[in-house]
Amino acid sequence: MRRDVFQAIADPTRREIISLLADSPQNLNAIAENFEVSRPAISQHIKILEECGIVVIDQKGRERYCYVQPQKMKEIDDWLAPFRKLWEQRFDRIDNLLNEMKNNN
Amino acid sequence: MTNKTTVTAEPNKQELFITREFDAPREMVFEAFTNPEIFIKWWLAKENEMKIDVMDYQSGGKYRYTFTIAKGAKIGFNGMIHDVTSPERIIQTAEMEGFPVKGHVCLETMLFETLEGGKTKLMIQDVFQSVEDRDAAVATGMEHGLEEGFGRLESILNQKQTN
Repeated sequence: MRRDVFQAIADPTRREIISLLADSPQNLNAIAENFEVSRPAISQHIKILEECGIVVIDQKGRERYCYVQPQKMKEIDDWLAPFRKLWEQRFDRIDNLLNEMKNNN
Repeated sequence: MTNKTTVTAEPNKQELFITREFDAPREMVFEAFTNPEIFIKWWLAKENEMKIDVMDYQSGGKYRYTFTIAKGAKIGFNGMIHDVTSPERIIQTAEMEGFPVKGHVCLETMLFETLEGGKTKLMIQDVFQSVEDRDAAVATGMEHGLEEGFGRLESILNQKQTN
């Protein structure tokens, strides 16, 4: 499955986790305390954020501290990114149509 | 592997550029942009939300299409087709209807260049009447993007402030 910053922020809980961690790194329990959803659910979101490269997990003794990656935050903050994404999706759809057109010829 | 899409919009300029290569001959890419039956299949993620009133790709022709976004707002685009040199160039105007005031028009040039190996390079240049108009167009694109599940940090932070 494709993982990128857009997938990271596609979910409202993950957006909140990112804003939380943008203020200060926290361990998993501290993050989970901010949410109604179960700790395993938060853990799953953190895992996705890690796979998207936006969160790094640092094991300190028994604690796992989560940090956001400033470089990836910049990618989100890139004001053109959603516009670019919109066109990427359009062009991908054109690719599919062009393949159909080629097969029909 | 998907071909790379480049979007360039330098700060404080009235223009933006979009480029992309396609693994297809330019007659075909040109048709994807000018044949309404094909255009309607890619402009939006869900084609049933879109209605094309007119799309007449010849010099002096015009186009208009409308669609509804999730919040229920109806968006329309229309423009005059200034010049069509098939299959290499389209020059047209574009205006978003419902932009608070009428008269915010963009001049759009699309170039279709043949590359080796049966590929085509598309270059779109949009020139707006002001930097503000250009930035608004990018932001509108952003809202469409949001429809498909994307956002940006600003909206995250705004959300945080209101919580």
